[in-house]
Amino acid sequence: MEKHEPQVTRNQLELEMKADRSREMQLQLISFALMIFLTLIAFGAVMAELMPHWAAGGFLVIMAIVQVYLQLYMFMHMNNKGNTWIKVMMALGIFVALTIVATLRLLIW
Amino acid sequence: MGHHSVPNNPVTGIPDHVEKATLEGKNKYVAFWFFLGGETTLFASLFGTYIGLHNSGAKEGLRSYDIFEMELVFIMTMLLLTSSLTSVLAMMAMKRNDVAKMKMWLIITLVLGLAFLAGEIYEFNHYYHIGHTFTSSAFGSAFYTLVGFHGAHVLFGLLWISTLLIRNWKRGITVVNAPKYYVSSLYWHFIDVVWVFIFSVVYLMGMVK
Repeated sequence: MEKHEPQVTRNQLELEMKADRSREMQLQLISFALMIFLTLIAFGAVMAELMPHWAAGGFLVIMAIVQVYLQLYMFMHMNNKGNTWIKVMMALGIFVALTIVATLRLLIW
Repeated sequence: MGHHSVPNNPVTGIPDHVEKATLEGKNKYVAFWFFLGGETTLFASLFGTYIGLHNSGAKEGLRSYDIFEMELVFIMTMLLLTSSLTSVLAMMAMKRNDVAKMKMWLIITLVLGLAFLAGEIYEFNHYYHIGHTFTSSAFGSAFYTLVGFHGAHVLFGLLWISTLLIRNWKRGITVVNAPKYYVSSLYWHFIDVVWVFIFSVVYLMGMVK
């Protein structure tokens, strides 16, 4: 929570908030453009048949992880202050998720 | 519930971070992230099963690279990704106490989500007619369980956001309804997070021979 100095007038506050808002808007739109870009690369690479099967998996998963990182940290604001427990729980969730995927992948044949 | 110590911002007329201005709001926010951590492991079990059973038992002509169509998946991906952005814009409007804009962006989010769901229904119906069904192969079972479960999340998200809009249609933004809107938007983003892995691992990987 931000504390505003008492001498800050309403007009100043309004201007500050407007600047914050346009900065936030810019960040979100850049994130969105990056997500679209990553999606296009992933689809494009498969469409153009650029990769052999063994390389495609790794490449597509890396593209997905970068995009999900943007989604979590920009769109969902996971990096905000005071989110330590959220990060701990998500990290735990992701750790268990990776273990599950690895286990099932190896168990089923 | 109503008693909160966070003062209103003189410009917006609501507290900054209105979704976390009360203890209840804060609790909802943290608890909802804990729930998403659980959802992550739940979807992981479906993904792991799908990866293990990919194309298993599927007849010639009904393997993933025979049936998946890139155009439809691409359109659905764009719809859901854009709906994630409109959901961000709705929450930005909420924080500046612009209830009309918030409602507008949420309705656009709903329309995009509905279009996505229509695409999925069309897709499943098409597969059913060419013989790729829940019981046709282990691949089919794993595919419909994973993708269908995601689709059910989309449906639930649509119902949730619609309900919130209807319930609060004539109300302004308050410390009571803001956390509700906010966690529903987190849910909506998470649906897109899952879809990113679905289009990458299920569809795109499935199209590489």
